[in-house]
Amino acid sequence: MRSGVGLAGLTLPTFLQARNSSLSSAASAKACIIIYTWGGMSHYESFDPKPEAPVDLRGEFKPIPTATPGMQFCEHIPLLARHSEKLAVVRSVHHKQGGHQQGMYVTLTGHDPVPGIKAKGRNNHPSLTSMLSYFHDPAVGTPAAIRMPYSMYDNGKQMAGEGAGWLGSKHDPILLRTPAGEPYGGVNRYTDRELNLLLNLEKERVSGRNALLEQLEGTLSARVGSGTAYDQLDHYRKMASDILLGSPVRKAYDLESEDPRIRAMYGDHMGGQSLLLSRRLVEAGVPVVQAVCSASDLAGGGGDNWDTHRDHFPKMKNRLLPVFDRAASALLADLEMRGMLEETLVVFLTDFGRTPKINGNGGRDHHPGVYSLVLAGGGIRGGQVYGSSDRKGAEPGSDPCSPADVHATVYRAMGINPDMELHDQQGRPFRICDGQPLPLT
Amino acid sequence: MIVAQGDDSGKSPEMLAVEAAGGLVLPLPGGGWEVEFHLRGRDALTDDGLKTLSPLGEVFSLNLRDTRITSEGLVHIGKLTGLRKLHLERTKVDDAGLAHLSDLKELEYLNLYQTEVSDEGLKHLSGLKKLQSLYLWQTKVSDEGAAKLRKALPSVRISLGLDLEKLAAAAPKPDPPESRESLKWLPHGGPAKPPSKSVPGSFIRVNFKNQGKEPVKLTWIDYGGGKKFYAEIAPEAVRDQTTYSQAVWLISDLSDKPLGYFVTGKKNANAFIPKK
Repeated sequence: MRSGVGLAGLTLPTFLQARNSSLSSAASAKACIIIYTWGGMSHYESFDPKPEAPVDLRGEFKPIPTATPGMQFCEHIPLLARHSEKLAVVRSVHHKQGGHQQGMYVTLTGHDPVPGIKAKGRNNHPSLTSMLSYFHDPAVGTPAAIRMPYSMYDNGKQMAGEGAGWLGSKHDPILLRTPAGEPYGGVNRYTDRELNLLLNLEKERVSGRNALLEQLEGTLSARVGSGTAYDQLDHYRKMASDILLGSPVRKAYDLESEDPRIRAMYGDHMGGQSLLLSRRLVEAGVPVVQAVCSASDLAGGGGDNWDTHRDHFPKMKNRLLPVFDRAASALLADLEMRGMLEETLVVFLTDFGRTPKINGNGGRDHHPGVYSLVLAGGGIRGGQVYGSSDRKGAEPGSDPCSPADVHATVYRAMGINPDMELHDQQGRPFRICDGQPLPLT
Repeated sequence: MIVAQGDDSGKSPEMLAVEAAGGLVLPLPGGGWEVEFHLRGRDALTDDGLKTLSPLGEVFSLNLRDTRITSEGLVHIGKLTGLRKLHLERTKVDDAGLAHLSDLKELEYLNLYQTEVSDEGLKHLSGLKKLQSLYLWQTKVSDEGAAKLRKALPSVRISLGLDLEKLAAAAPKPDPPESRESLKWLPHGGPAKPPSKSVPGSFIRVNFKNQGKEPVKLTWIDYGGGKKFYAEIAPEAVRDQTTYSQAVWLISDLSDKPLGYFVTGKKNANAFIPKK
């Protein structure tokens, strides 16, 4: 009947008790927004500049001071630098996975992948997004987790690690396309237009739920052949119909109803509008939202992504960092002035860092040896740096930690005991997380 | 959803009364309750419905965002003296309502953004010594009013938010379209051929103006030579399009018959789509 995971079969009070026993009393975050920079964002050209490193390693950008004494960022994220008092920057994350699929999997699930994993595999570990959503029970018609605006692809292949894995399909985050903003280069947004038309249909104009479902089914299933359009069609279809039928989520999806000045603050780009949509979805009661900032197929598209093997510096300066800086800083400002930041945990994740050495094509290659991840809000103490990389930015210099440790920190902030054990459909026990929470609160 | 399958046994009559008023009751670790009306109670909750809260016992956290309650209803909230966190944002609450909150000595978080409160109402908060966070964006509270409260409560963090008028005024103005250069129109099938694909360049804006009597479609030729549809442009309409230098844009009619092309340069520009 259910996915058979863990708490299945419990009545409501028992479930609440189970959830409670996993809650830590310090929890203050009620929602989580995960910002994922797909392709591997350079730690040098973002949160961990290395002005002391030799010239062939440190790159051509300069560090700038932030609002926090002693903390420096790259000069091309000046807006985020003003928000440093909200940020806990973890500069000593490392793992052993040098490929995108593997690096993204360990970053998003907290576990090393086995060979041959598939996007829809039910033996996969659940993503952080889906695991967090498992512990929430939003109102009817409100998805427990939404991700947008695209799935992560490399060389035409959808990545494993964004789904719910052994938690079961009902915990797969729902994929929504961000309906506004300039698209990322290298992705095709043709599907948006029709989907937007459907979502913008007035409830009154639709004669009934069945007709609507048929309509959606017809439109969506026609696209399944493309193989890349919708990966959780059935789940998606049900949820899309709920959205159509008038839940607060549908209103949240209508970015046209947002104050144009707020929209402008996030930037007229899909990256910015995705983060604006994240805030609106959290307001509408969606507890977990994941926004992939940059979206193109890494190998196939040649568009906007963080996998900067070539022309690293112009791409970062002209295309990637401005969109990211504006969008992420707007989100922090917006959450703050609405009084939402205390209850909303914001997490920046990426596959891995980039190599110290700048290659012959003016690029930096994959580097899981050390990189930076960032947390904000939700009870996290801002204006702090945890750990460090060494002088060259090649390895952890102090307090090395893993993606799983960052996950454990997130679970703790969200009131979930990371040591708790769940069981999959075969009854195999899984700990939610193998990491240890970092002292960031 | 997992919890939806549970039965209601184990819920006290007091819990059920709050739920009937549109609330969601959540037990907190270590005892006490958190009550939320902001999603399920948006339309259902009335001022009278707030009566259901004090029989519940210790309510530590209460969310009334977006509900239809008024200042009159806050008389019931004033009795919840254990309250630490109170969301009243985007309600009709005004200064009269704040008068009911002066006994909430445990209050640490109070959200009043987009309400009717003013400097006058803040006076009722000056005895809330444990208050740490106060949100007042889009209210009538002035900088002076906030400063006065800060004197009374030195540890409170008051957020007045961003001034959107100033934000809009400070935003960099794009150069006026009339001073821009015009991109050259390359008719389809004409002697001058556009490049077969776009090349990554720097960020610019182009105003595409349709001078014809029929709507046209605007399509970007991407870095691989593929076509990415962007927008339809109605007759006489202008599309302000962000793009990059060295980008190729295709103009076609609604049946996708190519009409011509523009190739962007390094500067913001106008692109006049001619009549057929």
